[in-house]
Formats: sequence, C-alpha cells, structure tokens
Amino acid sequence: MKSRKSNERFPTGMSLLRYELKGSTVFFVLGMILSAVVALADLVSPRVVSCVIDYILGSEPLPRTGIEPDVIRWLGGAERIRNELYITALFVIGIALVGALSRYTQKLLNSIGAERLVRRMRNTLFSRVDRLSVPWYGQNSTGDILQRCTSDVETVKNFVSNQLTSFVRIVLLIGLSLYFMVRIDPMLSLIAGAFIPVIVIASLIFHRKIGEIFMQADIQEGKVSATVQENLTGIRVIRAFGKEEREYRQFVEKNDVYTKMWIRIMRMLSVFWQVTDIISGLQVMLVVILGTVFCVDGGLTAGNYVAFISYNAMLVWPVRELGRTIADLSRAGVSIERIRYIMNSKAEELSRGSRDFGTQEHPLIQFSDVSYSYTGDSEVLKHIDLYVDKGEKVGIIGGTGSGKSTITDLIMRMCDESGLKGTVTYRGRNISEYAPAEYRKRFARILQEPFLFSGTIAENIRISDSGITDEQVREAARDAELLPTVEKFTDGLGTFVGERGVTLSGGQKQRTAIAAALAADREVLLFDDAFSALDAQTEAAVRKNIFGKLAGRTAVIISHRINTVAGCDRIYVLDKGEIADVGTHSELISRKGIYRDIYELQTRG
Amino acid sequence: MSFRHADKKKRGTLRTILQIGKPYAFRMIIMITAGFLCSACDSILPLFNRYAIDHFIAEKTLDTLGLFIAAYIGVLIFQKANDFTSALLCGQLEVSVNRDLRNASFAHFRKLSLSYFNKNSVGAIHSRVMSDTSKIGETVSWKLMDIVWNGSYLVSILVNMAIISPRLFIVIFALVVLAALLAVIFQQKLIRVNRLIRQQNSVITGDFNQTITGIRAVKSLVIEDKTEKEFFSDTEIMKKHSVRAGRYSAMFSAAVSLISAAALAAVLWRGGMMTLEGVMIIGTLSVFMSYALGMIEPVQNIVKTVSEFTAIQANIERYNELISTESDVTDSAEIIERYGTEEAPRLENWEPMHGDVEFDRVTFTYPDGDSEVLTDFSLKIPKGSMVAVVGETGAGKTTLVNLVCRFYEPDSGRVLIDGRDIRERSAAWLHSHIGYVLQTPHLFSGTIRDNLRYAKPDATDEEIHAALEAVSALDIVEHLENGLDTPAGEGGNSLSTGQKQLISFARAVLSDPDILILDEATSSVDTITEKRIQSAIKSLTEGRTSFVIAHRLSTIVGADMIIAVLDGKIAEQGTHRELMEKKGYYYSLYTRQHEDIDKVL
Repeated sequence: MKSRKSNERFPTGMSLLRYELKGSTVFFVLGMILSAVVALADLVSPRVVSCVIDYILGSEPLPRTGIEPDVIRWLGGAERIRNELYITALFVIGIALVGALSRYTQKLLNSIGAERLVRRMRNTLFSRVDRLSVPWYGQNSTGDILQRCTSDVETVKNFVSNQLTSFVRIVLLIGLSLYFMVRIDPMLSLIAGAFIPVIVIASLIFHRKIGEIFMQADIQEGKVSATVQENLTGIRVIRAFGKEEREYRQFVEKNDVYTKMWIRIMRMLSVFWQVTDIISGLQVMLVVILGTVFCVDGGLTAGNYVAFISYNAMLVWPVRELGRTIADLSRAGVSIERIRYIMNSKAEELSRGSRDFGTQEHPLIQFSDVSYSYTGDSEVLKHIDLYVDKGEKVGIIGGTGSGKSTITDLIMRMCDESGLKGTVTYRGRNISEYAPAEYRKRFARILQEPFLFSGTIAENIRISDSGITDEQVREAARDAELLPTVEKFTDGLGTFVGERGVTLSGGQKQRTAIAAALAADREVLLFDDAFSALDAQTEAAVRKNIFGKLAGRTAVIISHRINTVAGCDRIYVLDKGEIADVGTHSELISRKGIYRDIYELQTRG
Repeated sequence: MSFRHADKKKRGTLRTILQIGKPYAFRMIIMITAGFLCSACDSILPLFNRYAIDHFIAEKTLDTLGLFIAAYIGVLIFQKANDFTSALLCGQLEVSVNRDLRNASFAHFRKLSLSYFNKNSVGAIHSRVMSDTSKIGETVSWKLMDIVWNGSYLVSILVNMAIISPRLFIVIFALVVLAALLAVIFQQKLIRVNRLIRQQNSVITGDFNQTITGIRAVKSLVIEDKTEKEFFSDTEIMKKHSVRAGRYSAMFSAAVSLISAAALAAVLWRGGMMTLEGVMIIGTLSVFMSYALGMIEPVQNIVKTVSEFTAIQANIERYNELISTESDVTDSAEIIERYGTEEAPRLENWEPMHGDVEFDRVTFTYPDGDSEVLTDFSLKIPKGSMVAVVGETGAGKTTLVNLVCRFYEPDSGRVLIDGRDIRERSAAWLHSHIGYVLQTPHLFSGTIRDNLRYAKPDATDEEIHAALEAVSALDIVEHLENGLDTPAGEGGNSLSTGQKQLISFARAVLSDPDILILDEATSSVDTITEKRIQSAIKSLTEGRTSFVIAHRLSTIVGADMIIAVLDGKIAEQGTHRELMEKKGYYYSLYTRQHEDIDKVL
C-alpha cells in the first residue's frame, strides 16, 4: 500500500510493467508451464492414432526400442490390445483427463493473474490520479486521462493475459508439432516447415500495415461519435438557428468516410485470409501428396502418414496467428507508455509537511506582495496584500478576469507554485510548510460550478466526513435554504443526483455544495462566486444565515455582486489583478471609485 | 403522452432485422450460398485423405495422382473463392447496415421535439445512435455468417458420417448433443456473470470520471483517501466477478476437450473393431477421426452465436424506440408543399417576418408535467416590443419562449406571428427569423470564428468584429492568444462561462434575427460588462421583438411588458411602473433585491 502512494518513477515501460505485475507474475508463469502440459496432451493423440493403425490394426512389427513400443508393451502388448480394443479408448481418455485438468488449471491461473494485474493497474492509477495536482489537470485533457485509465489498461491486460500467453502457447505448439513431425520423417518435416517463415512474415507485415489503418478508422469513428454528441448537447442551438440539415449532411459525410475505411479494411482482410489460406491449403496438399509417395515407396507407414497429416493440420492455425500476435505485441507498447506518463507524473505528497497549526489567529491568512502568473501568461494577480482575521467575514469583489478565483486557488494550494511571487501565510507560517491534506481540511470551499458526486443529496452533504449525523445534515440543508426545495422531492434528502438520479438546477447544486461546506465544520469558509445561480431572495436568506447564525466563523466571500459582499467586515476591490480599494461597504461607497460605480450600476438598473 | 409509439407501430425484432436487410437481400443470398459452399468443401477435403490411404497407400500405386492433384486444387480454389466472396460481402454488409442505421437514427433524432431530450439523457441517446446500431450491424452480418458457416459445416460432416458408417455416426451424434447441452448451460452462466462484469466496469469508469472531472472538489474536501478506499473495493468486486467468469470458461473449455477425446476414443474403439472385422478400412477410420475432432468447435460456436442473437433483442428494441418515436411538432403536408422541408426548403415562398407575436387563449401543459402552466393565456406583443419574464430559479420562465420557438405546441389556443398561426408556416422558416441566446451557452468544437459563422456562414471578418463589438466581447477575443482562431474546445470548455455567453450572444447578433431571445444570457458576466451589453441590447432590440428572461431585475426595468412567473404560472403582468404600484409579487421581488443593501447601509 505504502509504495503506491510514493512518487516512484519508472524510467522504462518495462520497469512499469514489472511493477504492475507484482503479485500476478507467479500465476502467469505457472499458467505458461501448464500450457506446455496442455500442448503435450493435445499432441499425443495423433501419435496414439498412428500406433493403433500401424501396430494394432495393421501388422507392422513392434520396434524393440522407443517410447511408443514401451507404452504398448506396458499396456500388455499389441496382441492383448487388439483383443481388448477398449484399452486404447481408456488410454486416450486418460491422457485427455490429464490434459483437461491442466487446461482448467492453466486457464484459471491465467484468469486470476489477469484480474490481479488489472486490479493493481487500476488501483495504482487511481491512487495517482487521485493525488495529481490541479495544475497538472489544467495541462491534460480529461477525456485523454480517462482513456489512459480505462482502455489503455484493458490493452495492457490483454497483452499480458492473452497475447503474451497465446504467444507462448503458439510457440510451444509449433515447436512440439515440429518435434513430433521430425521424429516421424525429417525430410517431409523440412518441406512442411518451409512454409512457416513465409506465412509468419507475410502475416507480420500485413498486421503491421493494417494496424495503422485500424487506428485511422478508430479516429474517424471518434469523429462520428463526437458529431452525435455535439448534436445532442447542442440541440437547442441547432434548432434555433435552423441548422439541422447542415449538421445532418456533415454527419453523413463523416459516416461515409468511416464506412469506406472499413470496407477497405474488410477487403484487405479478406484478401489476406484467402491468400494465406491458399498457401496453407497448398502446403497441406503437398504434404498429403509427398506423404503418399513416401508411403508407396515404403519409407512411411500408413499410421505415421495419418499422424503426420494431423500434426501438419495442427500447425496451420498457430503459424498464421504467430504473425498477428507479434504485430499486436508492438501495439501494447503504446498503451504502456501512455500509462507510464500518468504514473510518472508527480503526485502531491498530502501528508508531508507540518501538522502543527500554532495558535496565531491575527492575521489568520495573509497575502504579502503576492503576484501570480499561469505558465507563460501575463500576471493575473499583481502585488496583492490582504489579510483575514479569525472570525472575520472578508469580501472580494471584481469582474470577469480580475483574478478573484486565483486567490482561492492560492489559498487552497491548487496553483502551480512556480508562478507565485510573494508569500501566502496561514497562522503566521508559509502555507507550503503545512501537510496539504491537513492544511486543506481547515477550509471549506464552495465553487461557482460545484461538483456533486453520484449518490444521494444527503451523501453529498456529508461527503467530507461520514460521521456527520442526519440531524447535522438537515440543519446544514436548512441553513443553505436547500431543505424546502428538497422536501418537494419524493425521496427528500435521499434523492439520487447525477447520472442515476435527478438533475439539479445550477442553484440547487450551489445550495447543496453550501450545505456540504456548512456541515463540514471547517475553520474557514471560502465562497467562490458560490451564490451566482441563486435568485435574490434565496441568496439573501442564505446570507442571513451565514452572517447571523454563523457569526463566529471565518469566511472569505468572492463575488461580482455588491449584495453578496456588502455585509462583510472588509471588502477588497479587485481590478485587473490589482487591489484597487479596500474598506467596509459604507467606506467604499462614500469614495468615488470602482466600487461605487458597480454599486450604482447594480442598484439603479 | 407525447410519444406516439402506439402498439401497432411497435416492430418485432425479426421484422426489424428483415427490414434492415431488405436493401441487401440479393447480396445476402449470395453471401449465404457462398458460405454454405465453402463449408461443404471444408467437409469434403478429409475425403481426399481417405482416398490417398485406401487407394495409393493400401494398393501401393500412384496411378491417378495427376487427377488427384487436379481435383484437390480445384476443390481448394473453389472453396477459397466462395470463402472470399462470403467474407467480403459480409464485411460490406456490416458496415453498410451500420451506416444506414446511424444515418437513419441521426436523421430521426434531429426532428424529435425537445421534450424527448429532456426525458432521455445525452448518453442514452448517444449509445443508441452509436453502439446499438453497431451491435445490430455486427449481428446481421458476422453472427449470421457464423451460424451459416458452422451450421453447414456441421450438417455436411454429419451427413458424410451417416453415409460412411451409420453405426459410428450414432455414437458421435450423441456426443454432439452432449456438447451442445454443455455449451448451453455454460453460455447461460457466462451471460449472467458478464452482465455483472459490464455493470461493474461502468462503475469503475464512473469512479475514474468522477475523480478526474471533479478533482478540485476532491482536493478541496480532502477526500482522496475516501475515494481511493471506495475505488479499491469496486476493483475488488470486479476481480471477483471476472475470476468467476474465468473459472466458468476454464471449466467449459476443459469439458469440451474431454468430449473431443471421448469422440476420438469412441472412433478408435468401435471403428478399430470394425476395421479388425474388415467392415471398415483404415482410410475411412482416419476420416472419421478428423470429423470427430473437428465437430465440437462448430457446436460450441453455434450455441454461442445463438445466445448472442437473443442478446441483441435489447439493442434492437432500444433502436426501435428511438426511431419510432414521433415528434409532437411536425409540419403538415400542405406546409411542406408550400415551404419545403428542412432538406429542401422552398425559399422562394418564404415571406419576410414582421415581428408581431400574439398568444391567443393558449392553454399549455408540458408533456411530462401534470398541471397546466398556461391557462387561457392571451397577450399581444407588437413588433419591436421587449417582453421580460422574471421569477425565481426553476419557476418555468422559459415556457413562453418555448412556445414562440415552437419547441412545443399549445394544447389549445394559438400562437400567432404577424397575425397568422405559427403552424401555418414551417418550423424552418420560423427558426430562420429567431436569434436565441441560452443561459448555458453551447459552443461547438471548432474555432470561435467557426462558432460565429454558425449563424451566418458567409460572414466576413468585419461583420464578425462588428457583432463582437456590439456585445462588448471584441477586447476579450482579441486578448486570447489566437484571437478568433482560438478553439472553442469540447463544448467550449477552454473558455469561461462568461466568455461563452458573450460569444453565443454575438452569434445571435450576427444572425440578424427579427425575434431575439435572451435566456438569462448575461448571468455569468460581471456587472460592468453586463452594463455594456445592456446598452448594446437597447440598440439591438430596437425594431426587433425581444424576449428577455432574467432573475436579476436591474436588467429589465425598461421592458414594455414584464411577466412575473411564480411556481410555473403567470402571477402578474404589466410594466415596471404598473407592477410596482400594484405592490404584488413583482414588487416584493424587486424590493427584496434592493433592500438588503439598504439594510446594510
């Protein structure tokens, strides 16, 4: 467990694979060993048949030495078996039982290994994804991360549990078949074997080539799928602009391209199958004819002829698969690299740092000459000085792009620290000195577009701590003015939200998030434009509760509405990343400045 | 109910398959015939062995070898030619059916009324258009061919065996039945476990999705350990189900190999005795052995395919549900005659719009709601007026707009445009005259310029600049690194909500509509920008009929008509002054919004 959370690095794809295979390797290795037993059991049958034909049914003399004659003698000799022919049947079934048992065990071991591998991969990925920093997410697209965590994991699992094991099985089958064939007739084996490299190489080249086309087709299908998605989510806009026809034409066009790509793939596949089929068909024919000639010449017994034909038939499928398997092997490498990218991304060390928060309460939070810029961009915050005392309500007002959300991001330590100049302190110490997990638990932050987890409304309210009682949940819902709305639902607070349940409106989501923050009982509440979707009446009621009932709590309230911040002990006016003014509502209003401009705009209408 | 998929319209699974395959009937017949011939040849090839053993080897002669080779190659080529034909046709059938179904469902859903989209999630409709169709395509092609190939192969070898030795045939046939029974049992078990696995798989994907998209919430709440613990238990369940499935298929595969061995043992024993008695010759015995060994796999495949066939019933039902849902809002035949369809509009018959809107005794209930939201509602809105709709979040402020846009139609009464019923002209005509800005703005993938051109495909950069200027968004766009060429991202995710609102606003301006609808269009822009837009709105609404939906009342005090909505019904209507004098619901809404500032002061 512990190693997963550490920031282990994987210099190569192989080292990552070794790491993920911990705990499942033994199953795969045992499985592969057993697959040799399975292959042997399968390959013994033609030998039994040939012996039966030659020595039991036919009248070939039993050689003095060799495994087969020894087995026949051990079973009581050719004469006895001829009289009691069921012995051969029992022998075949006996071997089959050993084979079946090994087959069962081998498949089970392989399946356990595969599932252990995939569980470990998912778990290690989740642990990493769970702890990657917010700036990292800003640089990577969510769809892509999700794909790495789902389909790439599947690809790697298939690679190890199917492709790698089937590669081993195929090589074993080919090797053993060839061995048995050589024992029957080396000359004929050489001729039969000459086809192997031809088909393997042809198959390898073909699968490499078609792999690229497959990828293009996948990309095209992605485009088709995205068009559908866009038309569904944007249906109102499309209707309102009357663009249905245009959208349909574009869809049909993309769909046609996709269809044509697949028809081309199908044609290539059919040609490949038939060409290799004809080559192997001709090879079988050649073996049949030469075998016949050898038999007639007296170099080969009838039984051996039958056995050789059987072994040769067993070769056809694995040889063709070999090329495909080798081609597939290279594809898994891409997925491993994609997973490695995530596993090598630096996770936050949540518990590293100080947990001692000291006693200083004035100021509780302080920004000293703080400037911040996202990578390569101009500064979004410039020389910010602000402080928050314990128990204060501090407002920050500013327009779109004034940098107000960056302030909460900085407080919550969700910014790339390399872009930060100046210091942010909490209880007198630089916030980077604290252990992130413990530090963040001092705050409850409510976002403008809150994220609800799938589950019930109540579960979302007690998300931060499952120990929150039902009574506390109700109370928080009441304070957030959520309760009256929710009680109209049939299941009340037990209503499912998200994919499986009702879709809440923006305002209902915000109120749920506010309730969750209130229930969490954290030291500081950060409202990040958290009332924007509430109507005036509801917002006023929520604010009344926060300023009244929660008078002792520390709160930072960010908004672009005067109403929201008017009651604060101190209001910072943010303009283009700089603090333009600071004071109480009445102080600010008495001065001629941005605050008063905004006030006039918002009240006079 | 709004969706008339009446029982008589409900199509059966088989009928749907037949209908889908109809355009390809001829090719399908060739495909099936070729597949059958290919399998029949497959079962003939072992007979060459028999001839080789019984004729050449037993009689120690090579007299007919030339003929033998010629016949062998002939059969081989004939077989491969058939195989090629059937596989190629099958592949084409799959993708063609796929394409047809997707086109048909896309063409259909874009005509459905909005209530359908309110009731069904995007994900559900998306999977009907994309996955259900591809499942159906695969089934009518490859699965069908699997049954043809395996079935005809099985039948051919059984017939061959019955002809060669009826006695041995009976033994083998009994084993075939046994294998089929086993396959049925295991298949059912596997289907059940696989369903659990699929469900659990979507739980796991959901977990990832939740953490990845909600990372800020996870971090803020410090619930990394909690989500991790939940995830670990989800993967544990997944492992349990998967290993169970693995165990079943391991058992099945072992059992099948035993049955194969039993078939071989039976042939060796009974056939061997017959050979010793001189009833059977060795060549025949070897043919039987290859048949006995080659028989189990097709049985297995057939059982598997048949069960997959039953499983696609669900896909077909879902597809049918989508395709047979009818829209509540359709143009009548006469309207189509005059105005053309969306595909082929007859623009020459489209008259210009003046912009008078009238509700004439309209009564309306949402298809999925149970109470009337409008009862006998009448209102005249002359060209150029601004109508504001105010009320609390979720109070049903969009109803009037939905009716004007004809996203829904009234239960009784009429909505008139320029004095004529909205239904007397085509929906396409109506929409070409309306500009609509939504609260949750939707931008398409492509650049900002592409998105703006959506409203007017031939717009010049000057026109685009003017439209952006009109909504005070020009400086914002110019500040972006690539300006107008900035990609709007998946659904416009690289822009802030406020920026998206401004761009979709500019888009509506660019379309130069006669009726402009602003649905809380400025809720996420800051006050100063909002103010700038408002002065723009004033000039833009000049001469146009406009509907403004807002919950911030400062936006709309100057409107010609204010409609206050409470709990889905119209509580009051009038001008700002009238409503303030009335001291009713609007008054309380308005004063409350302003009083808390005064209280603080």
